[in-house]
Amino acid sequence: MPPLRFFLATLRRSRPLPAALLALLCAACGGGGGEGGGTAPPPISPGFTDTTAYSAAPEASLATPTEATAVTRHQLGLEGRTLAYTAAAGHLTAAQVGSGTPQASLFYVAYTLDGQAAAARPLTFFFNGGPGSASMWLHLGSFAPRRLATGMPSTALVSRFPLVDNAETLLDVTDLVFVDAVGTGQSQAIAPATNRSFWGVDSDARVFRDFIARYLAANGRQASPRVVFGESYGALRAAVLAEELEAAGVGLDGVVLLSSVLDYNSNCAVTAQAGISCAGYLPSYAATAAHFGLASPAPANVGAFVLNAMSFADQRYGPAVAAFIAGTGQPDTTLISELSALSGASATTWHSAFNLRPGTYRESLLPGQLLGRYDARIAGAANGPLARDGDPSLTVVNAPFVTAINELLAQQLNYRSSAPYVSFSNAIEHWQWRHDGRNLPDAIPDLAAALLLNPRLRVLSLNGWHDLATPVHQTALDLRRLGPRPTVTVHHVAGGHMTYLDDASRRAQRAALGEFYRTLRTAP
Amino acid sequence: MTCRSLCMILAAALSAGTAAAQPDLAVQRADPWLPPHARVPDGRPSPAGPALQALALDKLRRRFEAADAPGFGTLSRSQAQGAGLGFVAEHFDRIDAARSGHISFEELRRYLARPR
Repeated sequence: MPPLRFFLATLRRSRPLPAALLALLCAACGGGGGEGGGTAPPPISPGFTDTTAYSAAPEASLATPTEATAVTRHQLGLEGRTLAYTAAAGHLTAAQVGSGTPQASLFYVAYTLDGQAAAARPLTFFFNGGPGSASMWLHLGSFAPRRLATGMPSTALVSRFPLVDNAETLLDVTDLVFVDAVGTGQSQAIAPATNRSFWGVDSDARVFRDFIARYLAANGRQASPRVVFGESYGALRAAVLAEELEAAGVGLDGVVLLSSVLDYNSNCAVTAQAGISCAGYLPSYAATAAHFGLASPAPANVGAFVLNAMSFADQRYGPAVAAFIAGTGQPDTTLISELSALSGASATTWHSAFNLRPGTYRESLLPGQLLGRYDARIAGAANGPLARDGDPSLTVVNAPFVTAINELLAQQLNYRSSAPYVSFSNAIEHWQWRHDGRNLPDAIPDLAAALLLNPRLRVLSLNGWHDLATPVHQTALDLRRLGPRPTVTVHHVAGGHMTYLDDASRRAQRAALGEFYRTLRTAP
Repeated sequence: MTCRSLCMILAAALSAGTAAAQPDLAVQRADPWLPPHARVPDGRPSPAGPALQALALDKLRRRFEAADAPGFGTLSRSQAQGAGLGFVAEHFDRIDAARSGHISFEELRRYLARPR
C-alpha cells in the first residue's frame, strides 16, 4: 500500500505534517467524501503539475527555472451579466531591467477578462507585505473574482470559510495579478542569487519591477495602464517600486496603498522607542471606543467623530505629546479627561502612559479582554484561544486562509506542485531594512520621486478606522509630508487592517477604487 | 484499517496538535513587525516640503551618477538604457534640448521642472 508507506515516511521526516499535504494525500484515498461537515472537494482533474522543488530557505536557489503555467477558464455572474475570464497560475522569470540577468522565478495568479483590447485594459499587480507574507490575503479576501466569505468582524474560530463569487471584484475594471515575493508562495531566486539576495527593501522592490516588466512583455501588455496595489509592508514596497518602475522606463499609472506603513520611523509601535509620538493612533482609539460604546458622549456619526479625533490629534494631543517627549511639558488634567472621553481608556491609563501605545490600549480598554491589532472590534479573553498569539483578529482568519489557498490552487486553478505553498516565511529575520541611507525605510521620498518623474501618477491611500497596526491618521501624517497633490487621494472607512474582510468596508473601498480607475492616465 | 479512516485519525491528531500551544509566527510577527535587532530608528525627523523634494531629486541624481560610470557628467541614450535608466532613454530627445547626443543632470532637472 504505497500511500500508507509514503504517509509514515512523511510523518517521520517532518513534524507537524503540513495540513495541505494531508489534504492532498487524503484526496488521493478517493471515494467516500463528505465527512467533516463541509462539502467534498471537487475531484482533481489530471493535467498540470510543476515538479520543481521550490524552497523558501534563505540560501535556496533554482538552477533551471520554468515559466510553466496552468490556465483555466471561468465565468462569474454579476448583477445579471456574466464575466468570462481566464486564470493563469504559474511562474515567470524576472530578469534585471537593463542587464537582462535572471533574478528570480516569481509565482503569480492572473485573472484576465476575456475579449478585451490590451491597450485600454488596466492591469493591477497585487501583493501583501510582511515582509515574508505570501499574497494570499489580498488574493482570497479582497477583489479577485472569487473570495472567502469571512463574516468579519467575528470571533468565531472556524477551520474554513466558504469561497463565493465576489460582487465587489475589480475584474470589470482591471485585470488582476497576485504576485508572491521571493521566498513566499512558490517564488524562488535563480542561481547564482539565493532567496536571501531579495530579502531587503531595495532588492525586493527591484525584483518586483523585473517581474512586472516580464509580465508585460510575456503577455503583450506593454500598452496597458498599470497599477501596483500593496497592503501594509506591501504598500511601502509599492511606493519604492513606483520609483523603480518610473526610473526604469517600465512606467506606472497608479499606486494603491492599503493599510500602509510608509515610514517605519514614524509608527510608534514597530520600534517601541520612547521618542516616537503615538498621536497618529488617537483617531483609531476613538473609533474603537465608539464601537464598544465607550466614547462619551456617544457619537451620532462615527465618521464625523473620527474626523474630529484627527483634528484633536493634530491640534491638542500631538503638540502635547511632542512636549512630553521633549521633556518641556506635562499633560494637564483637562487634556487627560478629554482624551479619556474620546478613547474610552481611563484617565489612570492616560496618566501612566501619556504617549499611549496601541499594545497598552488593546490590553486596557476592556477588563480581561485583548482587542485585536488588525481589527480592534474583534476581542477575545486575554487568556483564551483567540488571544494566544497576541491578535484575536488575525487568529480568527489565519488558518482558514492557508487551507483555502492550497485548495484554490489545486482544485479551481488546476495548479499542482510537489512543493508546498509558503504562506509565511522567515524572511523577516534576515531582512535588510536599510534604505536611502536610513536604518529603517521611509518610502515617502520614493513616492515623491515617482511623482516627479510622472506627474500624472495616481495614488490612492485606503485605511480602516479600526486598524491598530497601521493607523489611518499616521498614514495621513506621512502623506501630508508630500504637500498638496492633485493626484493623491485618501479614503478611509470603518474596518480593520484587512479592511476588505468586512462586507460593508469592501463595498465602500470598491466604490473608491472604481473612481480611481476612471482617473488613470487623465490629467490632474 | 482503510486508507480513508487512517486519514481521518491523522487529521484529528493534526488539528489537536495545532490547538496545543504551538506559537503561530504568522500572527506573532504580523506586519508591520521588526525583529528586535532591527528596532533602531536613527531618530532623525523624516523630511517634508522642500527638503523632501531635494531628496527626491537626489535619488535621481544617484541613478544618473551610477549610469555615468566614467564620470564624464553626461549620459548618452544607450548608456542610460544599459544602466536600467529607461526613463532617461525614453525621454532622451526632449531632455537633450541642445541636440548634443549627451545630457547632463542639469538638463534632466530642467526637463522635470517643465509642465508635462
